[in-house]
Amino acid sequence: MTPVVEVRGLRKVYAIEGGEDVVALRGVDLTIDPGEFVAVMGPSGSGKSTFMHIVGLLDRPTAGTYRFAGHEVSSLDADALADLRSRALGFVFQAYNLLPRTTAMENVELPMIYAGVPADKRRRAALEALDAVGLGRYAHHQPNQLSGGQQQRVAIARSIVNQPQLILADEPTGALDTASSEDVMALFGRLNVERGMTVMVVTHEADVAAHARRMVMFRDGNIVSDEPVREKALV
Amino acid sequence: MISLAATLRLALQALVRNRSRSLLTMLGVVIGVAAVIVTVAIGTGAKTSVANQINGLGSNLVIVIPGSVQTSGARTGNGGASTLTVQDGLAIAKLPGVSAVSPSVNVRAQLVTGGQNWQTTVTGVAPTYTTVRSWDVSSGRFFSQPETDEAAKVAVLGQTVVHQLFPDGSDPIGRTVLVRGVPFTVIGLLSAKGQSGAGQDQDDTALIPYTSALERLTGGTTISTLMVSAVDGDHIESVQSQITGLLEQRHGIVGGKADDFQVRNLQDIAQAASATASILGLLLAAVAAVSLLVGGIGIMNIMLVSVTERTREIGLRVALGARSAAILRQFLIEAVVLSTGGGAIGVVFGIAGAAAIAVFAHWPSSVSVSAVLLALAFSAAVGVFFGYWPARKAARLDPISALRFE
Repeated sequence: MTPVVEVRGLRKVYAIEGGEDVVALRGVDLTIDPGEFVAVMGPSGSGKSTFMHIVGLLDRPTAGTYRFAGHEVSSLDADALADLRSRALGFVFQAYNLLPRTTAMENVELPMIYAGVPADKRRRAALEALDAVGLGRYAHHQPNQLSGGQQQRVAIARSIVNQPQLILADEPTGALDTASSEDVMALFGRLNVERGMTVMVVTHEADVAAHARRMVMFRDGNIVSDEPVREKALV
Repeated sequence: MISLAATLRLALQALVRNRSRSLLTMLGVVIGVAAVIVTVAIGTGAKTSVANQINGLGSNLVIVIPGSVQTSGARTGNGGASTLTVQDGLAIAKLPGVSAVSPSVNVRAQLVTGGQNWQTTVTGVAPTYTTVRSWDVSSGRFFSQPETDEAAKVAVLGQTVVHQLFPDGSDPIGRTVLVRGVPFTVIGLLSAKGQSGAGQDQDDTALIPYTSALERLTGGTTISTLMVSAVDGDHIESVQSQITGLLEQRHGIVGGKADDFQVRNLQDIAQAASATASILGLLLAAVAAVSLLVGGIGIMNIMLVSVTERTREIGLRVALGARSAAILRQFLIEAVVLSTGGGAIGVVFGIAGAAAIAVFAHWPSSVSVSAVLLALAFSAAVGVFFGYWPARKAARLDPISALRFE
């Protein structure tokens, strides 16, 4: 089975003008197989966000190799990365990042527009994705008519609509109350179990990470622990 | 890869999301384009209006006068020769590009009626004179061709003569006026024409058939002036040279011999006046162009604000797989839609404004199709030009910091 993500010796160094270089990642090795549900944890400054941006093809490593679904991607140009993002990746952000004054349906359609999917197919896929997150009835609601939890579920529908090989969620519960957080994480769990979707969630909350099946801990640009989550033990 | 149509739809959605701001941004271009169209219409109207006034003087008029003759060493001035005949006029009337010819026989004469008398220039002319001089009667009628053929004793009086001979305000039509003792019946009155360019009172005149003037007043066959009307301003040059050729032939002037006539026109005046109108139009157009430019800068300003305000949205689009070219295109299209939309609204307002000014100023206002197309094309160009920088700024945003932007 080809891993979805396979990084070896991943380094990221930010050159600060007039100061010392900041090393965000110091040679990270990690493999994520299809169907995994990984939580990436760590305090701020541990390099977990940088790691997510590189895995999400929004940033390039300074050194090391990154094979995405078996293909070396560290040498691709910006347009090729953009095309890959539109086809193979789904993003969920802390602040939902839905377009204002735009219906849930149109928001979910957006990634397919950039992937060049025809309109009738877009509509069907968008409705299906909204059904999958339990918001089929809200297709024509605008973000300001939805609760935070609902908005985040629209964003999740948007992330799965292109059938991506990997869903990346950056602090997806950071702006939600406990009940909505539970809802959203349970939704990721269902997508993982029922649809076999590969999910990577970046968070600093242990009870959020507990929904995953594997937990990777970052500290000072290194992975300090990588172990399966014991069922129910932390819940 | 995203299609152009899909990008256009994204751009329109973005503009509709900010409906009021989009409309306000358009306003600058609306005013600019409307101003361009109105001022071009005013400029054209002014030019047409000036041209009409000059035509009133007879700008298509070519005047043939006798030249100078030399008698035993002494040269008379221009007009001194008695060489121009009615037959010359008839020959000129047959030339292509000539619409009408009227001979003119000038006689200073004392006019007498009842208890009043007045000395004026009695001018013998043909019925075509009204066309040639663009000068019509205000009451009564002008004499006809049959009256001219039989040298009828009829006269049409200028307003000054009317006031001098009939100070009591009685109707002169039908009354008899003695010209050098010959009784003429007044059949019409000329409309007031005012002073000529040289300050002469053009209304101080009485018109009679040229045949009557020749037979009853001068007793000769030579005439003072031939007034020739060209079909339009473009034909004046060719008409002038044809007349010269024709008269040289008729008068037997060959080799280096000096012409015994002169051919003149009023084009110089017309050209000066229309040049003035053109400069005025250019000045107005420059002011209008500046306002269009300001409208373009307004678009750039708002687009820059919009790029900053939508930083997170741009980051999102990039994360979702938009190439930077797609972002650039979307923002460029937004700018062009704003500017051409503003341009289209501006055209409507401009045409309405030009029509209103035409009504109030009594000008022949004409909104030319080319001005409208030019304004639209220019407003689209404004959108591309002033939209490019903000669009490029949007396309070059770093998606990671854009997504974090608060």
